Amino acid sequence: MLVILTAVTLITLDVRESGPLSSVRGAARDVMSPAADAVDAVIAPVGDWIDGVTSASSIKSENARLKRDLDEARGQSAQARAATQENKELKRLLDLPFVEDADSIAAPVVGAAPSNFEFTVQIGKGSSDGVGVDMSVVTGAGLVGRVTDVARDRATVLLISDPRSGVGVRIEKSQTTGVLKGRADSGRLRVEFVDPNASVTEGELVYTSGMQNSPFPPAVPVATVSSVTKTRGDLEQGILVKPLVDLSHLDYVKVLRPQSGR
Amino acid sequence: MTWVQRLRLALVIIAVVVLQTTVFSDGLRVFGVMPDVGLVLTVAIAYQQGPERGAAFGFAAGLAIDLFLDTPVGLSALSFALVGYGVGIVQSGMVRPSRWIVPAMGLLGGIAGGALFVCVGALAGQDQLLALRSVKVILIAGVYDALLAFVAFPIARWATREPIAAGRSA
Repeated sequence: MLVILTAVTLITLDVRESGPLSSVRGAARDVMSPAADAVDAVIAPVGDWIDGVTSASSIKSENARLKRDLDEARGQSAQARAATQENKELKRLLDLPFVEDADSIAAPVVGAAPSNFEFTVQIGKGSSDGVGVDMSVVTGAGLVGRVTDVARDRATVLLISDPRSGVGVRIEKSQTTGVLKGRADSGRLRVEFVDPNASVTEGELVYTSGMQNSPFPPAVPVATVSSVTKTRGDLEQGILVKPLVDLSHLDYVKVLRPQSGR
Repeated sequence: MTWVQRLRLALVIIAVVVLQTTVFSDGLRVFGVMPDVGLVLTVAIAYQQGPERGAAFGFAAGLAIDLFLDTPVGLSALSFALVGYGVGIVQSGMVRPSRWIVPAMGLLGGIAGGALFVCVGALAGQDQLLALRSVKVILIAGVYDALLAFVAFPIARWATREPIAAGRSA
């Protein structure tokens, strides 16, 4: 009975975010991180060897595909550079922030979620490196998530695939807004509250809207539209999107520091 | 309980946290699901020591794991404690346990613990736990726990074994 009462009390305190529980959490993670790093250093080569043995044929075909994609990307990068420069000039004229120039902290991904019901990663930078709660996390491909918990040398990032995650987004052509919600490990995310009369097509880019009070800066690419479902009489469209970032294979990320004025 | 037994149980809890947050979370997943190492050991300890000690170990192990999760602190502690108590009660009613008792306890304890975690979590405002995916996760984790039980039960016997000096004096 005492055990049950204590557990219920702890749950209540943590849900209300009162008491010293968050600092106890941070201290526990700080204490465990050297042990976790040591175990990782031993286990990682074994895991990589097992991966290599079991995935040899798929690694070969993925290598060939990546080489083809690289050639194509090289060809497109020249076009993109010109467009990027023009875009920078236009944004400077309009005095809008440009995410690629944002002050950021590079961080290695050092661990996955320790639970079957969370979609988070641990990064190897913390408060001592300037990482703070609600900072956006990106890779070169797009949005990864946001920081939800920070210890001295580590931080927890809530991925956009987590059902608890919500990101204000804008769809490329129609410029209509919505809220991006995670759908666990289904590989697709859902955009909710999209105007049923907006014209949305497959392949369109979805990026952060950066609206007022959003922790995410504007214009960060997030996903591409993979399916659109419209039913007569519905108050919103059913839009599924595919994230630009491969959230199951994260090695390094960038934590964006808040820009002045946000 | 002697201080040697307490020390061994504390070492087991530390090992549970390290394994859960590194080895199993990073690599050893089956269909994307990892086992509940702390829950399996709670079942094993409760089977050896009875309901009260099973609940106490479950509370301590669950609380240690809760410090590394985003869900409310106390959620795993409550789930593990209740499963530990239940396993202890069931064990005390067994007349002649069969050889299948180890995986059966691992499976049933794992499923019960996962279900309790989801239900209590939903009551505590974690609505994302109430999804069809949770059923799949609980079942796969339960099977994984049943396999891990073959390792957990000997560890529990070692951790709760009386030290030789205490045994001789008795």
